Amino acid sequence: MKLYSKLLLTIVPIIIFIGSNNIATKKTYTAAVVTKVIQEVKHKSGNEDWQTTKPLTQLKTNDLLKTGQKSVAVLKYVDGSILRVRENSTIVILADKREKGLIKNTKIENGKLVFDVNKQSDDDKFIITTPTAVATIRGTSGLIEVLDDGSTLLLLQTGSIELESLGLNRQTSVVEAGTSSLINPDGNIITNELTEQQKQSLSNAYKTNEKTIKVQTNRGNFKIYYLDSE
Amino acid sequence: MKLKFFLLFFICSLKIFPQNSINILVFPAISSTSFSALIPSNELQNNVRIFCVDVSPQGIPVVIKGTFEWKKVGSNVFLELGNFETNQFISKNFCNEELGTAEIPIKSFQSNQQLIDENLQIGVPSGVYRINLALYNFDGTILLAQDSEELSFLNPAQTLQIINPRPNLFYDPGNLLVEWTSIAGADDYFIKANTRSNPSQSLEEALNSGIPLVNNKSVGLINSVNLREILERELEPSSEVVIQVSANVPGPLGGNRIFSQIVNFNVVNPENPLVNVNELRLRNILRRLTSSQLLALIENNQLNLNEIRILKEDNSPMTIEELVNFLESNFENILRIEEE
Amino acid sequence: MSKTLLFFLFFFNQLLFGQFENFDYKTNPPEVFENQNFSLIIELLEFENVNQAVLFFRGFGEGDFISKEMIIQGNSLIVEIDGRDVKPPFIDCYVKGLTENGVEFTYPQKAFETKNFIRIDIKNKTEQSGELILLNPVQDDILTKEEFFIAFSILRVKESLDLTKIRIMLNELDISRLIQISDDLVYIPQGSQFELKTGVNSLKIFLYDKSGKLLKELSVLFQIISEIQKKEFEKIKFVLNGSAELNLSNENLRYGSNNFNRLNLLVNSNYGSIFSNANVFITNEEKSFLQPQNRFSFLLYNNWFKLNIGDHFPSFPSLILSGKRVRGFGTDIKLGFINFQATYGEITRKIEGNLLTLIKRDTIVLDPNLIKIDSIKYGQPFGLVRFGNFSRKIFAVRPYFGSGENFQLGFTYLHSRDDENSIEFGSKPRENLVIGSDLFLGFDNKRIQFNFQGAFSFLNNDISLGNISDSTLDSLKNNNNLGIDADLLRKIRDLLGNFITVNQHISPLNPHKLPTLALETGLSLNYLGNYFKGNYTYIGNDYSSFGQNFIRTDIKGFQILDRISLFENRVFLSLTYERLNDNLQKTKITTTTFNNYETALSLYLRNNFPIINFSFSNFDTKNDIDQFTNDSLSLMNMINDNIKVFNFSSSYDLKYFIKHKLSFNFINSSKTDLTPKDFSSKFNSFNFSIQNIWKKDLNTFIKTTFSNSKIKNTDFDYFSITLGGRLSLFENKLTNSASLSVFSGDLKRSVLDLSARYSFMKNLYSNFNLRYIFNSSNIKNESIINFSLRYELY
Repeated sequence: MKLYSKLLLTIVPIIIFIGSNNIATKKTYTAAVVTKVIQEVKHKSGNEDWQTTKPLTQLKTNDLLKTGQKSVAVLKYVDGSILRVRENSTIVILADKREKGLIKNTKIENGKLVFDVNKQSDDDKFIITTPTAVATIRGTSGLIEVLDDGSTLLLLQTGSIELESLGLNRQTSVVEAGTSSLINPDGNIITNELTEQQKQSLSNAYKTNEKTIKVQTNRGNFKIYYLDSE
Repeated sequence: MKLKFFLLFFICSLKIFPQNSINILVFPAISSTSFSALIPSNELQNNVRIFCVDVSPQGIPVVIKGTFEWKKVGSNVFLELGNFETNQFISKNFCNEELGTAEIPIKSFQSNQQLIDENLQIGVPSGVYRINLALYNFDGTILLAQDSEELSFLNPAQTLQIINPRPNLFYDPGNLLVEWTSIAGADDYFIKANTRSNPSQSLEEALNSGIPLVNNKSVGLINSVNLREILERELEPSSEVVIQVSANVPGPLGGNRIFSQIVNFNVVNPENPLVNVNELRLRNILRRLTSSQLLALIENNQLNLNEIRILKEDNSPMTIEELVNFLESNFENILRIEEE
Repeated sequence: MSKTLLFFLFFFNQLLFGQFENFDYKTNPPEVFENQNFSLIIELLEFENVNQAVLFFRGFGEGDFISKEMIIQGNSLIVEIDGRDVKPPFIDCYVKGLTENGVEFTYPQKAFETKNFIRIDIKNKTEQSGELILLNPVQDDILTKEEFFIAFSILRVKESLDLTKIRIMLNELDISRLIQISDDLVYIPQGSQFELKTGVNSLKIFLYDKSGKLLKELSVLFQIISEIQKKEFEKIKFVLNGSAELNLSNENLRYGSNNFNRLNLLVNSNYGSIFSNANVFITNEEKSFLQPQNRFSFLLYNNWFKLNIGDHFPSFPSLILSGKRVRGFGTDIKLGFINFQATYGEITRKIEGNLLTLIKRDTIVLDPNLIKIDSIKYGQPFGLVRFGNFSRKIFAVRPYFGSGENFQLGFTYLHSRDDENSIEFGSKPRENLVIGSDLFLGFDNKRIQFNFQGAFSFLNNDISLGNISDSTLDSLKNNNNLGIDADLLRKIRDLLGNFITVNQHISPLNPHKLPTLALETGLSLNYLGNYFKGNYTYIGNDYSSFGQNFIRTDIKGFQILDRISLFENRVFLSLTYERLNDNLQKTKITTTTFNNYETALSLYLRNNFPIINFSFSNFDTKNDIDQFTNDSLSLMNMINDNIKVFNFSSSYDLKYFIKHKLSFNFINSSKTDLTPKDFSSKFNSFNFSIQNIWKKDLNTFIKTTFSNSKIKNTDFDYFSITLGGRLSLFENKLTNSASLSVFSGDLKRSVLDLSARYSFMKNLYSNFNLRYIFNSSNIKNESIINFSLRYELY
């Protein structure tokens, strides 16, 4: 009995120590990889300087990514979910690897992104956070944008989302496909059907394949570079 | 009897001693000339005829003494610029370009240096100049006749500007008002208009190519005219027209012709009044993007949008309207425009 | 019996209304991934009497449906959808068909009207393997070698996976040694040592569990395109295209008849990166007593070199040389930072004058057209002539530094001279020298731009006497009455005489007062949808450049322009203010000030709203002569007028049964002349037109115009109406149009326009146009006929 107790007293702290170390060593996790860069995209880890982002740049927990004017970054989480970060946007990657499942949280500080999230298992979570809203996504695609006044605009294409506002009037709502939701800084959620213009914006935001249109004139030839569907 | 002899003597003396006169003729209202035309110097000859002198009697040895005076702009007083005296010469009619030649050499010339400098400071003749000429006998002691005339240098060339039509706008082919600013001293205005065959043609080239719609037509001393009334050829719908106004200001050696800027405008096509809308839309959308050489060419009217080829990535063609629609609906996905 | 009756009633009911509701559908494979071919099978649960069926489908965000014939197999309607049309997130589709009895059906019912389509979800490629998530490349990806890397996620399988046994085969070559692992991400970075071939490549990934058993296998094909090889391919490619057009025209107008025959040949070619253009334009308007109307030009260029031979329009700083046709040679060489452009040739062709009358020496004639002539040849020293044009040549060179992307500094030298020996009856052969500099600075992707150009000119208005001679200078020195510093003049002649003829006709005589200086500078900013530009101009009264004949001189002032786009670029507002004045050297008795402002508003509110444009302009011109003066000279020179122009236009596409394009325009211009001359005028014009698109190959239009103008108490008013249409036949090979315009009021006439265009073949077509004008009774009718034949070479 005494030996058993001594053993327990010795082993348990060791186990706890090892376990805590394991937990501690999981502070950074390779959550996503950048697969495409259009024009100016930069990323940053911790206190390091901003670096130019290239394809295969790995994004770990707490990494930042920002896009410049007319720039796009396509990144894929390790669960296959795709984010298309549009121009003039800044996001923070947050990922928490659990024993079962991976909690992914993308925080948008400004700008907009298109998300294409694979169906999440019960142990997984995919969250997108903005200054005014938290969206929990389970097998959904759409666009989320932080507007100039801090409001969040969500255009949902497929699937459904649990939406929670972060303002004074905290509200929660389940948003269905084919709708747009505006969450203002006060916390109010206003949901409507997608308008034609919003559908067009959504369709445009998906485009990340660089193509050209040639314009031939007698004063020279020009190329118009644009993004098309993949 | 005594009266008859007196009359005979009087008549004979008239014949023996003919009436003396000197008469200066100047160019009416000359707008500008160079100083060299005004300087009677053996050294500085010129070809420009500004004034002529009618001398009577002719064929006798005479001397001419003259002074040049100047009344500056804003002053009421004439000041002497200079004076001269010729050598003896056989009297005849002459003009200013002969003064200082072997035929009428200058004996002496004196000038007011300060006033000459002031004139040179201005650079061109301005204000009013007065020529005073006196005809003397062979040794310059007896005054036979004298005359003086003023030369007004009006406003030197003002600039002539077309107020209407405005560049690049669209107008109905049936009616177009052309308006322009006045030019002082002009005695006539002329209109020239032509069709621009394509936007890569410069405005000057377009004005001077082919047979004009209006070929330097005189419209008199007015500042506006209805183009329809003076057309010598028909305005074609959808065509681009260039127009210039010129003013004639009389003077020696052809006078001066003052030209306005050349203005281009478009003629509406009733069948497709929207043809210009695509160009406007394209300009607007290119302006929203960062500046490019393509936009610069369109804004400077150096591109004929009907003659450009637009090809998609698979080399299939696109029309202007398709391109504009595409750019407008995909504006946020346009990255950049580069010249090849 | 009743059941049978009910059955038939139901059946006929279905036939009458064409409603089949017992359909089901499935896809093969059950899960459809992007870019993957799949079959859509519609199963008819009860009836088999479908004769024909067509599937209509479209991807997300697309407007138009694509149609595809379905195969009828027993109770099933099957169609194969090509992978190129399969894009996430979904495809919407519906079926339309005919039964054997000729009854139409739609599935789902009224799908198009209710937007209730069959929706097929399309999954992203990354899901393809299920547990093995391939991130890059994916099936059918097209990449360059530089872009290629391998990355996949083992998030779902890591627990049972033996990390040391992961195998990757690239084109059957094992490259597993290059694997790197970061948490759940397995990758092989760019630049790793493996062979990729241009074209199709294969990638295979094998995962094994800890016992060595194959856990998962994944295989994809992708394409590699090499950038260098792509460019190489284009380099050796030879492209030729061009056109030839013959144009014959006859104009029979009240002033006379004219025939125009024109031929225009254009050939473009490129061999790799070397391009060439040749253009020949020949017209019967070419006359020896006019400036050239024919045009001949050849251009050869690549990205650093350009050579023009023949007629060309060199582009130099606009104050010095712009828009001028030069017949000669021109070149532009771009070496990066140091660049060079030059041009040489003739800008005016000689045209001989005529001797009209001989004038004796003693005849006092003051006439603008009087000149000295050859007294030996003509017997008299003077003659009245019709002046001809001297031949004039130009040479300009500009070295410049910087490509112009963000910086450019240039220096220009221009010299142009009349050839006084080119004609006999001319006056005042002239010579011109201009030197200038230009600077461009661009910042922040050219959102900030600064432009500057300056030039100084010398002009000699009569070079017929040549340079002032030494003997004249010596004589001037000895006879100092003119107060001219002969030594200084000699130095100026020796210095400048190498560049321009120096004699008493040279200008400026007062260079320190800068009468021949020209400056233009401007700054523009383009931020947040706001384009702002400010310009300052100073052009001296005597500034002159033979390369830029029609520049406005004796003017200085500024212009401010602001163009703003608002509401997500649906509204454009532009404001312009300009203030100028003349009499810079105080040579005139009065100074005129020009105050102009313009404002324009354009509304492009999409979503079925008209396009609207407003503009308003105000021009004030006034000089400082006392309004109450009685002095005749002052009265003649007085200017005090105001012009206001208002313009409104709108266009709208209306859908009412068919598409109608509406257009409306109104202009009002009024000039108030406050001087005793009173050249006031008024002008109003109203236009309305509607174009009806009945079908793609048939449209009609109606247009009306009301116009009223009053110029110094003379009215000119008219009303017109135009009716017309356009019809295409024979699969658009033949297009005809016709219109009739009737004018009444002060302009009485009717105009009939007919035109036809016929395509003989794809590249060869002809145009015929006829315009016939029925004038009022005292003016003869007029006609314009035009025929052209055009061939395009591609």
